[in-house]
Amino acid sequence: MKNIFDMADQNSDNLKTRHKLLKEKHENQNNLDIFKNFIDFMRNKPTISINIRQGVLISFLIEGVYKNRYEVTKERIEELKGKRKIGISYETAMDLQLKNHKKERKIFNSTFECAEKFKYGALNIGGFGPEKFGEYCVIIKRKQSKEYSSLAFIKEDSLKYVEENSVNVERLSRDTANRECVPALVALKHENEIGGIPFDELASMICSNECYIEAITKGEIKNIHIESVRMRKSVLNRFENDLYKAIISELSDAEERYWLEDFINMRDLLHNQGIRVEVIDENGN
Amino acid sequence: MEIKIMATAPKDGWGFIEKEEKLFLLRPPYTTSDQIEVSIKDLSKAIHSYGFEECAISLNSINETVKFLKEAYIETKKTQGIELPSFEKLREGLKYATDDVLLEYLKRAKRELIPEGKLDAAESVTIDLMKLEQVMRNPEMQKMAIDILENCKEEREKLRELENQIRDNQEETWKDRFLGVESTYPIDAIKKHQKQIAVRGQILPVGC
Repeated sequence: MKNIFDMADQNSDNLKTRHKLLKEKHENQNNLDIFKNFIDFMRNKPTISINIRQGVLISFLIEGVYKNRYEVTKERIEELKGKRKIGISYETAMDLQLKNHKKERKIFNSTFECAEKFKYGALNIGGFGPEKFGEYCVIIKRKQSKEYSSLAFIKEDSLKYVEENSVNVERLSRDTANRECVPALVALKHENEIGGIPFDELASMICSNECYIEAITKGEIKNIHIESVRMRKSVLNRFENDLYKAIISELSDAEERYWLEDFINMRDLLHNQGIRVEVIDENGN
Repeated sequence: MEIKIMATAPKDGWGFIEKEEKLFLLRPPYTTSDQIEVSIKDLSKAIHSYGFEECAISLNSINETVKFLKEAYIETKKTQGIELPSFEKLREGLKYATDDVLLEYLKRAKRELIPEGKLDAAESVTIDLMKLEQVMRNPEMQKMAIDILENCKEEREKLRELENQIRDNQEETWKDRFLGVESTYPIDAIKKHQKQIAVRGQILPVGC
């Protein structure tokens, strides 16, 4: 079994060497200032974000701890066993849930130590993150992200390294970084874009639906680690429209009524826990 | 057009669907922009790491798919024993509405509800908003709220006048069509009889 966090540490020399070569390349092209600014920015700005759906975010805020799907399933099985409503094992339950995708899961989990404890997020310097996994982008406090003892960053989504019957460990080991080498990993990933993209557009280049650097930790992610929750203006518009309809007693759709109640509950939880809400419009304002 | 639901997150009404050999994520409120093209790896990731449950359900249209996802979401609420929230409870959300939004609500009441004759609704919005400190602190909103209530009052007056006018016209019609009837029967008795005929659908009671 491999340790992905050790793998990230062991790749540091390789990343530093490649980073040095990239720096020289930019120096030769008289772009050193731009390159240095980019690296400084990547050293000072990034944190970790997790994209979460509303129902999951509410559970996270209530329970105080973010749980991955294995932890949720284990807990659910224990709960059902307690009520004598289930007689299947955790493994069988997971296989049933993952069905056709269990092969990938098994390959990945059997390659890495403690994989069932992994929580997945993304490197974030702004923007909404990969919204396809959740409309709320939970931003972890930068200071907190520095304190996670086990933290690895991967150039792409980790599942992209799962091939036929195994994980392509060789490719993965070259694309993994620890916290210290993240700026180098980002620079190498986006070497062709450095300088060509304005700084205010960097956020969506680095972390969006199309592209992200995955962050993995096996540490506990608690609600007190949350800096803010970022949402699109369109989500807030939905709330405002639904609320208006509710006030004039014209919100007839049950789904919309439940959603509105969930949204208000979520805002209450965020407010009570002192977590800032950031609403960003389509232009990034 | 056949649509296959590949995975769902029923707790939130999200689904991964296959349509015309392409994969999409479909999520509330299910507008065109809530349908995002994704890859098979995204689907795996969603199942592997984000709590989606794999399934294989074939439906005939996007409307059926949306209906399925909405029902799945509602069903999870029912399973948890959560009742449909009342409008009164949902109005608590006003505490998260900004000044701009509250002003817009008042403008909509004036612009849409009053002309549509939805006076109860217009008054309800205004009264709910007037209870909020931020509305009472804001002279513009305060003035608009009072205007709306006065407008509603005026509209009600106009309606009452119109009703009276119609009633007078009806009385005039009786007098014109049945000359002398008024001298035999009081006008209220005539109206009562007219109402009974309307309810029965015939002039005399059945069996007579």
